[in-house]
Amino acid sequence: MSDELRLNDPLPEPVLEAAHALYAPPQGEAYWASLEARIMARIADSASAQWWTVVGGWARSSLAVAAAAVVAAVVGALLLHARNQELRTAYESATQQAIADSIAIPSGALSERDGPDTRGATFRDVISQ
Amino acid sequence: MSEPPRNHLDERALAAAAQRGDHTAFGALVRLHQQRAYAVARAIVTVHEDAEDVVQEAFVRAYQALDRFNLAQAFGPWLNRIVANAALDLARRRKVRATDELNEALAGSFRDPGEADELRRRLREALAQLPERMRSVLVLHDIEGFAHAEIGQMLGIPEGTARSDLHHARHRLRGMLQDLRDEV
Repeated sequence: MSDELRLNDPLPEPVLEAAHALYAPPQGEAYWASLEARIMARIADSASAQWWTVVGGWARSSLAVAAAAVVAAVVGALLLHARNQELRTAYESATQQAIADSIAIPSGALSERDGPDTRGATFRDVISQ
Repeated sequence: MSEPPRNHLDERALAAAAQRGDHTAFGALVRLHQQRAYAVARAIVTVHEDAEDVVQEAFVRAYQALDRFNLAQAFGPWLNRIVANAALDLARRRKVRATDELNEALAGSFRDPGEADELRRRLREALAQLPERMRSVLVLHDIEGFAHAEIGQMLGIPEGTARSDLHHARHRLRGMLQDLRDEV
């Protein structure tokens, strides 16, 4: 009992005795052994639940990492594809331009198309002289 | 100190072993403290079945919080705070019940078929009418023998409030049992 008990206005002794009787804990070793067993069983359950929580946490983390890797791979592939497409477009554009440039006939050259006849006439003229 | 006498060093060794994952050591702590834990729980939740649930829940919480237990402290007061918190949590959930239902549960938990004592009957009715915290303080102090400071720590109230609650609880009980005064 506390030292503070009954220092000021304690309840009458018969009331206290009746209150003790009302709040009396269960009696008997068997009851407390049973309660202890139930407590330890709940602790075992909670420990195993904690273990699964940890494993579940790992699984969730692994799934998250895997999902992130898949997303990264897909995004990477799309970016690579887009880049390749861009390069191809640029290459084709440049190639077509070069081809176009190479086959383009200068305007002066077109005027020379008649040139062989002129040059031939001149040549024949020189030879004949 | 209202803790039952025991070797604090042995208890600390048990707590240290339990912190290292030794279930047998924790079982020994349960054996040592379950009756005291039950008394704390019963003082707050009143009903025997609720007190049992609270004790089980509190030991599970204590087990899960073992790594935060300071071995320099005594295990009992630390556990009692956890028990009181678990009991207060349950009491809060129980507050949704109607007052009449609560009083019936309280009276039912105390009912002794073979008991015809008028004083006990009147006392359990009077206790059921006290506000929950006042009743808890009264039972923890006058029946279980806890000091005001311990009660304050357990219930999360200042020591002075625990003293004041005890005074008011006794005053109300006396008023409700006034007509029995001559008999008692």
